[in-house]
Amino acid sequence: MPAITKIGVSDIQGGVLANGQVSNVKVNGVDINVKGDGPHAGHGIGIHAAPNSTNESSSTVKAGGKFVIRQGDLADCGDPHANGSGDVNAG
Amino acid sequence: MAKVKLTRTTTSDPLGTANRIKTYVGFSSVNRDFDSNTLYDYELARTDLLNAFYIKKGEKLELPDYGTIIYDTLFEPFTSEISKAIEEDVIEIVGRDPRWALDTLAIDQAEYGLNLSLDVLYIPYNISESLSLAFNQESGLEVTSNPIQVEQSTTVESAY
Repeated sequence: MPAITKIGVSDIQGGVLANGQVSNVKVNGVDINVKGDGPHAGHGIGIHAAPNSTNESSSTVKAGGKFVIRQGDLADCGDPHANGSGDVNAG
Repeated sequence: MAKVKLTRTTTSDPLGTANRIKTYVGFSSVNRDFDSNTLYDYELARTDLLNAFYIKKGEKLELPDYGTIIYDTLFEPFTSEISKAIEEDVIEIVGRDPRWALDTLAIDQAEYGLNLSLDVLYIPYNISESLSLAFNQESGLEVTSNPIQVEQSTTVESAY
């Protein structure tokens, strides 16, 4: 199973995830990244300047009522989330 | 137990109305003489796409891979290798933005430049547009486009 991504730690092409919606669910001590989070730090121009985690996600695992984002799930800019948790996974 | 009285509140913020909620929001000062500089959705995606064609690859600060190689080829003989390189470059530029899909691409040699004809599809609204990009050695890039067409998902048979 792919790793769950984390706000402030995981990234999209080098742009660190930010602006999480769920603050009461932690992964390795930091906020979890869920569907709808963002805009995250940019990694380019145009749509890559402020990507959001609105495209792909887990379809079965939720946190705070929203589906969690896993490593490899695509953001709305078409690039994948990377550097998820080393020991917390979701299907 | 504390009692909480719920009262109905309203907001007078005009930006909070439903018809103002857009998926993509951005900024441009091009051709915005009298209106707001804010761009939404299709208009923003189109501007983002054309920005890549206005910038020579290597010119963008901190983003050396952004832009097009076409400006470097304008003074070169138009060989099949050049044509293929431009084709791959355009495919990469359009493919970099998930809002667009490239349908057709034609590259023609013109006097002092190149003409590119692209049929692109704006995926969220299923809108197709034919763009003509005229790259010139002296005047740079000129963009013309045909009226927007909404893709027909179904065909209607003739009654005759």
